[in-house]
Formats: sequence, C-alpha cells, structure tokens
Amino acid sequence: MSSRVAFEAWQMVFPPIGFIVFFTLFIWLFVRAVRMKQSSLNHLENLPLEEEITRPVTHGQSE
Amino acid sequence: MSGQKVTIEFNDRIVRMFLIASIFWGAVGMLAGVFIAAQLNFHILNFDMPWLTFGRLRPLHTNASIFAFVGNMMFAGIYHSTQRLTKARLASDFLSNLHFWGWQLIIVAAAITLPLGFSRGKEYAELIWPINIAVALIWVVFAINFFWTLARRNEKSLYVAIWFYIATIITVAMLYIVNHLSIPTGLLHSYPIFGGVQDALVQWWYGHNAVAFFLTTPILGIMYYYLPKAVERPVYSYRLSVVHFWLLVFIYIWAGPHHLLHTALPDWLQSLGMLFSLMLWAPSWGGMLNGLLTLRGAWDKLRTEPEVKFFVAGVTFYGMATFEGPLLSIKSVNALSHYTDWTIGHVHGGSLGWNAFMAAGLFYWLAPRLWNTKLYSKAAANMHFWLGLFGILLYVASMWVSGPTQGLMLSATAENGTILKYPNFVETLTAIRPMMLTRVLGGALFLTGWFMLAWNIFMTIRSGRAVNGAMEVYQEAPAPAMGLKRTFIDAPFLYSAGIVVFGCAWAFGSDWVSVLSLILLVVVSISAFVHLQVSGASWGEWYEQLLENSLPFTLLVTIAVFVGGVVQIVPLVTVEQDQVVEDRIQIPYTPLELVGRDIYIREGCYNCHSQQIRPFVAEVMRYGDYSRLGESIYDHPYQWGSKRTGPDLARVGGKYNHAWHVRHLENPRSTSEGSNMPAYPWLLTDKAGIDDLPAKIRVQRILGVPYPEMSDEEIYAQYRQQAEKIAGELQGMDIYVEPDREIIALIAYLQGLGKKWEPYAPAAAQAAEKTEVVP
Repeated sequence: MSSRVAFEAWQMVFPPIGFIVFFTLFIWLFVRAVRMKQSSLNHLENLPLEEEITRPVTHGQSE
Repeated sequence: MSGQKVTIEFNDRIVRMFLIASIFWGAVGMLAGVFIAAQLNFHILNFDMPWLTFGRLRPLHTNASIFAFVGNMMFAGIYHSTQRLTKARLASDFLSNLHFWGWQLIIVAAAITLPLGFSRGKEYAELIWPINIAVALIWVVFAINFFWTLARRNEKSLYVAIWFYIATIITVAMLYIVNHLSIPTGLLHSYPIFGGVQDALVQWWYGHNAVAFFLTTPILGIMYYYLPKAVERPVYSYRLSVVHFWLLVFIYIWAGPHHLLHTALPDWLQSLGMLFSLMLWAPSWGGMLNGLLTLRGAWDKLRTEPEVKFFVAGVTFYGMATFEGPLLSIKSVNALSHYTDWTIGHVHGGSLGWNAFMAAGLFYWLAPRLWNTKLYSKAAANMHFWLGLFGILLYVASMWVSGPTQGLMLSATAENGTILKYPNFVETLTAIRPMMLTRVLGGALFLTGWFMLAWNIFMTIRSGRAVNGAMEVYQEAPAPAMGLKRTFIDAPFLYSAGIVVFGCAWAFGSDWVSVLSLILLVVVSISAFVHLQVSGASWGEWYEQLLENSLPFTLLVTIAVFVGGVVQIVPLVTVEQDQVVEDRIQIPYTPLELVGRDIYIREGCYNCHSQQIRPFVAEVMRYGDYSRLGESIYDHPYQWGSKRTGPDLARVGGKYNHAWHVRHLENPRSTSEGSNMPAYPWLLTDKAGIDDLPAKIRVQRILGVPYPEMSDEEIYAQYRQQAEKIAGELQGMDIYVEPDREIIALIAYLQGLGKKWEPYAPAAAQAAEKTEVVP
C-alpha cells in the first residue's frame, strides 16, 4: 500500500534523523535535569508559593 | 539579602478583564457547539438560512472555543502568574490594554465574518487575511509585553511555567504566520500560497501544533503554577517538569502528519508523524503524574476545595487525551478512526476535560483573590463539577461508540469482499443517530455547568471589591547577560551538535564519508565523556546560567521547534513537482468551476465532506479509485477534509446528473432520505459573484497554477459559455435555473471532481523508459 508513494531517496532519511536528534538531545537534557543543584531545585519549586499581599484598587483605576 | 527593598503592585486589572472575557466567550463557543451538534440531529435547525448553516457555524464554534475562550483564559493565567513568578509588574499597561481590546476586536470580527461565509477554507485557520494580520500584530504586542516583563524581573530564575509560556509565544507565532501566508484577491478573500499536499502538510503541522502550543503548553504552565498554589505544596518533581518541558517541545512539533495517515501524503512523513506521536506518551504521562502527585498528602482538599477537583480532573483528562492521541496515530487504528466521530470524541475529551476544567479551576481559584472575597457558592461549584464531568462522559462515550460503529460499517464488505455491506452512506448515519443525540445531551449538561460558573463568579464579584496583588522584593543589580556567544560556543552545545552531525553523516553518508563520520563520532563521544568528567562543574554552570537568561533560552526553544517544522515542510516545498504527482496531474479549474469551488469553501462543505480516498478496498469500492497526490496539486487551499459526516466527494463528478445536484442542494432529503445535510435554497436564487474572477485567476497564476494567459473578456466568455451549457442541460431535464446563479457554478465544480486530471509520466520515469534495455 505505502509503496505506491512516489517519494524516494533522500527524503526517507528524515525519520531516522529525527530519532538521532531526539535521543541525543533527550539524553543530554535528562542528564542536566538529574544533575541540577539541590539548592536551585528548592528555590525554583517554591517560587509559586511565595507570599503576596493585596492592595485595594485606587480611584484612578477604573474597573 | 542585598539590594533595595521595594513593593511591587501587580497589574491585576488586566487579569480580571481576560477572566471575564474568557467566561463570556466560553459560553458563546460552547453554545455554538451544542447548537451545531443539535443541527446534526435535526436538520431543520439550519433554518434554511445561509448564516445559520452547520458549515458556517462549525468554524465559529471551533474558533470561539480555541482562540476566544482558551485564548482569553491563557492570557489571564499567564499575566497573573508571570507577574508573581518574575516579581515584576507587567511591563506596559498600554500594551496590556492594547492586547486585550485588540484580541476582543479580532474575536468580534471573526464572529461576524464566519457566519457570513468569509473563510479561507482551512480548519481552525478560516479567518480572512485582514484578521490574520491583526492576530499576528496583537500576538507581537503580547510577546513584547511578556518578554519586556521578563527583562524587568526581580527574580533571576525562570520557573518552569515561564518556559512553557515562552514556547507558546514563539511557536504559535511561527505556526500561525506560515500557515496563513496568502495572496489576497480582494479585501476579504485570498488564496493560500501552499497548494495540494504542501497545503495539507502545512495545515496539519499548524493544526496539530495549535493543539500542542495553544491548548496544551500554556495550560501546562498554568498547571505548574496554580496546582501547587491550590494545594499549598511545591510540584512533585521539578526535575520531571524540566524533562517534561524539553521532551514536549522537541517531540510535539514533529507529530502533525498523523492527521494525514493513509492519505496521499508521502509515506516517510506518515511514519514520522506516527513515531513521534507514540513518543509523546512518555512526556505527557510524565507531566500528568507530576501534576497528580503534587497532591501528595493533600488529597483531602479534593473534598473541600472545588478548584482542586477541577484541576485534578483536568490533569486526569490530559492524561487520557494524551494516551488516546498517540493511540489514534497508530496507522492501523487510524484506518478505522479517521474521518469518524472517534476523533471528535478525542478532541472534546481534551477541550472539555483538560482546557475547560482547568479554566474552571483557575477561575474559581482566581476570582476570590482578585476581588478579595470568598467564592460565592462552593455548593454551586461542586454541582458544576459533577454536571460537567457527567456531560463529558456522555459526550466522549457516545463518540467512542459512534466513531468505530460508523467506521466499521463503512468498511464492511460482503460476498467475500466483492460488495459493500452498507452501500448507502445514510445507513451508517442512521446507525449512529442515538449517539449523536446523546452528544447533544452531554454538551448541554456541560454548558449548564458553565452557566453556573458564570453566575457563581458574577455573584463572587458582586460580593467583593477589586484588589491588586503586591509583593515586597529586593531589587538587585542585573546579573551579567549570558550573550549569544556564551549560548552557542560552549562545550555541551558543541558536543551535542557534533554528535548529531556525525551521527547523521555516518548513518546516511556513502563510502568514505560514512567511515570518516563514524571515526569522528567515536572521537567526539569519547572527548565529550572525558571533558564532562574533568569539567562537569562548568557544564552545569552553563545550564544553570541558561535557566536565568530568557533570550538564549528562547533562542534554543525556537531552534527546537523550527527544526521540527523545517524538516517536514522544506523537502515537500522544494521537491520537484514530477516527483510527487505520481501518475496523474491536475487540470486547472475552469473559471466557472473556480467560482463554484469558492462557494464550496464559503459554505464550509469541507467540514463534513472529505476529498481524499484512501487506498482501502471498501473506500475504493464506495468512492472510486484512491486519490493521487497530483490530482489536487493545484488546489489552493487543499480540501482533503478531516471528517465524513457525509460521503467523500473526491470522485463525485459524473456520479449523478445535474438535476440530481439541484434537487439535492435545494432539499437533500428529496434525493437522500434520512440525510442530515442542510438545505441550500439560496444557491438557486443568488447570483454568483464574479467581479473579482479575473483577479482570482491572476493570483492562481502567481501561485503556479498553469492557467494560460487570458484577458478579462476571455475569462468571462469562458464562464458564460460553460454556465449556459449547464443551464441548458438542466432545462432539458425540466429544471429552469438562470446561468448566472450560484448553483450552476457549484454544479460545474462538483461535476469536475475526480475528472480534472490527465495522465502524467514523471521526467525521471520517462528517461528510464527511454534507456531501458529489453533483455
């Protein structure tokens, strides 16, 4: 069924190229993520939990 | 802590505006969805009015749901969380307001033009070119405002949610601009620069990644910020969130061709799309688990906090939809599921379960904080949750039954595969009617829940008073910028590039190139390993610095998504035409047929009819010979379609006579009993617009469609001659229609489908034939 496709030759290299690029970068990024400093991790993962205060909207600000 | 202590007051007014807009447009989009689902059951709801027909309203539903509802929700979440994560007020109030009002204006323009039939004829990319330009401009305003805020931030590190936002902004801009490249033929009409298979590929590269980078990555950023906020504990694994991000960015962009499996798209691209779709299972489930496990020790909040319910269900639906997506991308599964309701069920599992539930969780969490009050009614929010959940389940389950049922019936054969078991398409439609009705019920329940949210948020706003968040921060001297040189001229980056280049050259090079590359690959790999052991600390430093520098980070993300797009699109765009057309090449449409085709696009026929016959026994028996690439190579835009609510039309030309088409378009039930197609009586009375016909043909010529040189008079003469011929033939069948009516042009187009081609021998094949030696 798929042999009917007229595409031949060099375009066929893209799936394996995709794999090579993907796995190279994946391994590198995975290693980087695992080796992240614990202090950085603690700091980053707590960023959303930092306290904030609220201020009433001043008269100049219309709603 | 060094630096000067200051209090930053955030611009939460813009967040409130986007929140309210999202709730409103969400109701509009969902209402349109329930209405068009009802139209599929009760054709009378089309009211025989042009601007209320399914083909025109379905794009309104999809565009309103994606760009108006989720768009506004995304902007609310991004603006709110980014200010807190960067500890900086949005860079410009003016740009924020311009972004908001510009986006609303675009939505209003879309809501007017789509029902009026102004369409580019490509799914989720229907908006006409002036609106496209406005979208691009407003997106740039958003990008400037966002990156300017990052540049002014008081927190060095970029939290992972910001990464997802950066990927969204960059990728959506790239996708949107490429897929909307068009040449105008007038103020409200244009033809896309890509045609046929190229257009199909670009469209689904865009369409798939609109799901990825408009409906997924920004919402993941929102998940990584608001879920920890809601359960008051950090994300389960920050490391996993990093891996989740990079994998999604690398993989998602490659998966678009899975929307075109078993079509005339080259096989290598189909394989590429399927393989990368399967790989998506890993990051998607990693992200889902990371979200769910963030609730460790806080599962009790599910009982007490409605927003946590929505977040948890939303993340679970994300997992389910991202399991189902790759499943549907497996070619053998896709052979059954494609063109059926199964895909519709999959899409709504994601849009209702993931997007709308995450939006609800976000709004229930945000509203009390933005108006300094309590949520008006937790009971109503809980009720909304259960109504919505039940609605989704009804919707998705009915589509899961409907899709495979119709798919199996359409492919069923009898008499040892010599005849179709269900030759009449309407039979298969009748079989799924109960499921189509169940879908309406599910959608209506979900919509009811959304109205409850709107009421609940409105009452919450009434009970409170608008407040802006503020934070005390220490403003420090800016850290030294990383710079482009430092970004790219660095050991980790260079080693990675070397491994990729030499690996490819080894695998695909010939003779000495392959041997040399293998040697270099080994040398580079060993060097990288040794270098890492000796200088591991400095490698880490490079990465840590990257996390604090938004510009180099953005560039790397851009490269990642750009490579994925280029690798798919450039070969098809640059390849010699005779290599892709197979054995047939399209004959350009006559002027009358071109006008008819534009009417076909205006009425949104592609929403229900495909023009792509797959190479399956049952399809060939039902619709005719399978479609070749060359047969649609000059179609700007392509019209392969993605759903068959009605039969495929690729070879409908000559199947019925002109009179049948007139009766069918005037009242589909008169020729196809049980059909749910809308009636198009106005096509018999409205005159076809042909003032811009010469301009349209000139643009087609610019795009490479081989029209001969024709004066305006010659174009109109050809038009009249063919129109009068068709009108005359109709007269012979006792049907009297003026030649200048729209239906004449549409019939000319439909009767040409499947017949507008001539045999074609590629140049290479011709040369081979000439040199062939007979043994």
